[in-house]
Parts: sequence; C-alpha cells; structure tokens
Amino acid sequence: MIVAVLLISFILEGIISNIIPLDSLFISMFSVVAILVTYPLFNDSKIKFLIYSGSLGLLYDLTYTTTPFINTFAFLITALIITLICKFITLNKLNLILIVIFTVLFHETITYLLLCLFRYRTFNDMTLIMGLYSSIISNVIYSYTVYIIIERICKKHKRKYVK
Amino acid sequence: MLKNGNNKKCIILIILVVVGILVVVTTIAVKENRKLNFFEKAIKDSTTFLTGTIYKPIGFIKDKIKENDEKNKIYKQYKKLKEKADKAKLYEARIKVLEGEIDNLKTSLDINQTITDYKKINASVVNRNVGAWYNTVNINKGSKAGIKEGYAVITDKGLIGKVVSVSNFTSTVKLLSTDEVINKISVKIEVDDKSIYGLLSYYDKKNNAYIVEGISDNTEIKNGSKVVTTGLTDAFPAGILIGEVKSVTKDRYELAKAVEVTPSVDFGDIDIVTVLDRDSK
Repeated sequence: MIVAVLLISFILEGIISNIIPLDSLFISMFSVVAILVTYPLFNDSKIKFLIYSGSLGLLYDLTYTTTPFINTFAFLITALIITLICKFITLNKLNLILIVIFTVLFHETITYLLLCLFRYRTFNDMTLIMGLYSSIISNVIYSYTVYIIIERICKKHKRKYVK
Repeated sequence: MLKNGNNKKCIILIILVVVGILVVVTTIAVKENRKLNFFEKAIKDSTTFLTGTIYKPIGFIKDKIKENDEKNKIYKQYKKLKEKADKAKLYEARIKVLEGEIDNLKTSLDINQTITDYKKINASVVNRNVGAWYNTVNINKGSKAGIKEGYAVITDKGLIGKVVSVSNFTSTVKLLSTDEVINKISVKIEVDDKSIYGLLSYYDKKNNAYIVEGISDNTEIKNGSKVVTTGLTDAFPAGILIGEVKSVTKDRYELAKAVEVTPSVDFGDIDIVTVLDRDSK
C-alpha cells in the first residue's frame, strides 16, 4: 500500500500541474504529503522510511526536474523532520493539518534554499513567501483525503494506522 | 559482531560520506544546460510517457470544454470576418508584392534569420512547473524529433522560453517568467516606423511584466507599442512577439529608460508549444 500511495501521489502531482494554472494558489506537493501520510504505515522502521523518501526524491529529480539530488536531499531532510515531529505529536485527523502545513512549508523552503545554494536560482524573499503562501490549500485538502482513504483501508484490514 | 554504539557510529559515518559525495556530485551536476545521461533520459522518458498516458482522458475532457468556449467565440468572430472577407483579394495581391520585396531585401542584406526560415516542431506540454521553484515545463518531444538545447520555444501568442535539457522523447523548457537575471534577450520596441533596441533583463512576477533595460534612445515610447526579438543573437530568431509596452520608467541606476512590458503569453495556460529548429534555417 505504501508504494501505491507514493506512486499515485507522484504521478498525480505531474498531472495536476497540467490542469492548475502556474500562478494559482494551488501548487501541489503531493509527493511530500504522501511521505508524511504513509509514515505511520512504516511501523517504526525509520531506515526503511528514509530509503523510500530518498528514492521518491530521486525519482522526482529525474522525472520532473533537471537538478539531480536536490530533491533527494530535500525529501530526506523532510523525512527526518517528519520522524522528529511524530515523536512529539500524534498524527491524527486534528493534528494532520498543522503537521502538513509545517512539512510542506519546510520542504519548500529547503528546496528553494538548496537551489539558491547551488546557484540554480537567485534568492528573492518575496518569491519565497509567495511560493510558500500558494502551496498550503491544495496540499491540506489532498493530505486529508489520502489520510481518510488509508484509515478506512487499515480499518478494513484491522491494521493500526494512527502514529 | 559490532557493538550497538559502534554500529551507530558506523552508520553515521557512512551517511556523512554519502552526503559528502552527493554534495560534490550535485555541485557539478546542477547546471542548466548540461546533457542528460542515459539513465536520466530513460527514467524521464518512461515516467513522462506514463503520466502523459494517464493525463490523456483528463486532457480530452479539458479540451472539449475549451472547444465549446472557442466555438461560441469563433461564431461571433465569423460574423465579423465575413464582412472583411470581401477585401481579401485586395490583401492577397498586396501580400504577393510585399513577399517579393522581402525576398529582394533579404538577398541584398544577406539576412536569413526571420521566424519563417525556421523549421517548426509542435509539441504538447506534459507537466508544468512541478516543484514550484523551477519555472519549467516538460514537453513530449525530444532529441528524436530534432530538438536540441538552446532552441527557442513559442506559442501562437509569442515567445515563452528556451529548451534547457533534452532526452530522447521529452524536453524541458525554461520559461521567461522567471525572476532570475539570466534571460537577457535582445529586443526592439516598435514605435511608429522606428525601432528602439534594448535588453530584456528579467521578469517582475509582482507586476506580471518583463523589464527591458539599456535603452538610451530619447524617442518617446508609447504604451501599447509592440516588443519583438531582434535576432541579433543566435538564441532567438528575429520578429517573435514578446509583449506590449505597459509603462516607461527609469532603470535601477536612474541613467537610462526601463520599460515594463506586458507578456503576450499567458504563462498560466500553456498547452501546445512550437520549438524553433535553429539548425534547419
């Protein structure tokens, strides 16, 4: 199920980008949301979680961008942050929104800073703020939808989902 | 068997070494115009094909909705055009004369860089600006269709950017709507019969306008004047529409004019593009 959720989110991100206008308030980061929502399914196997996140980041780099390893780094760091957050906060329906917002903003900022660090972009605080601002709504909606779907599947198969 | 503490240290050491190697590789690899290797090309081609196939039914519905809107618009336009159609014969004759004059001028001035001389490769956009910060679109034609890095990319409304990386069946196009100062393009502003030359420096996202700098000419520039490429560099052919003058101000150093240009292209809605094959001119 983990692989399915990650791959569907990954492909969906590419498809949605084609439908939503470039400068809209609905920038999709479904791959990042997917690694957050699937975290409880890894049953404390942090190494496995990091490997999956890094691999998805690498696939992301190769498919959607021309910058190898930037997203691999960003996905790995984001995955590490997710493991840290989930140590202190339970990933349930109520906390999900807050954690998604923090994770997405963190990931976006890290990616932007890495791109600036490797001179792919020049730093512009307004661009960063506008980018962050536009990437909240669609990702919160997506995370909530995926969370409910996974929760139902887990209930059906009598698996524990909440972390 | 290693003890638990040693094991942890070993893992941290391995992670540090891997991260170090990745940093070095990334520093070398993160260049916009670099050539993709076989592995990158294969993954990019297959995943783009997959997403493209899944997108097809969605795209079909989207196209149908668009088509319906277009039909309504076209019907209104048809009525207007019908009136103009009577004058078409007059225009045809005039075009023939003008074409002849252009050919003569091209021969005498040794110019062969107008847009009409370029082979056009049409392509569809597969995904747009995934990852938010890249300002790129991926298209479904690559080196097998004759596309190479650096080729100009246009839509029916004007210039949108240039090809930055190519795999066998896909290409990545860097859009002009980036706020980086890397897209210096030689442009001219057409004011009445005169051309005023300048340099398109960057895109101001806040005002949705290109900024053209380096204009020393004192001629008054009217709002609404057309801005087109000059073709003075090999990157972009001459005569591609970039936009219209929005306002005229002073540049950052208050020395020369800076012109705000409204893009002719809506960057939020790019579906079909044309790549201009520079080598076939």
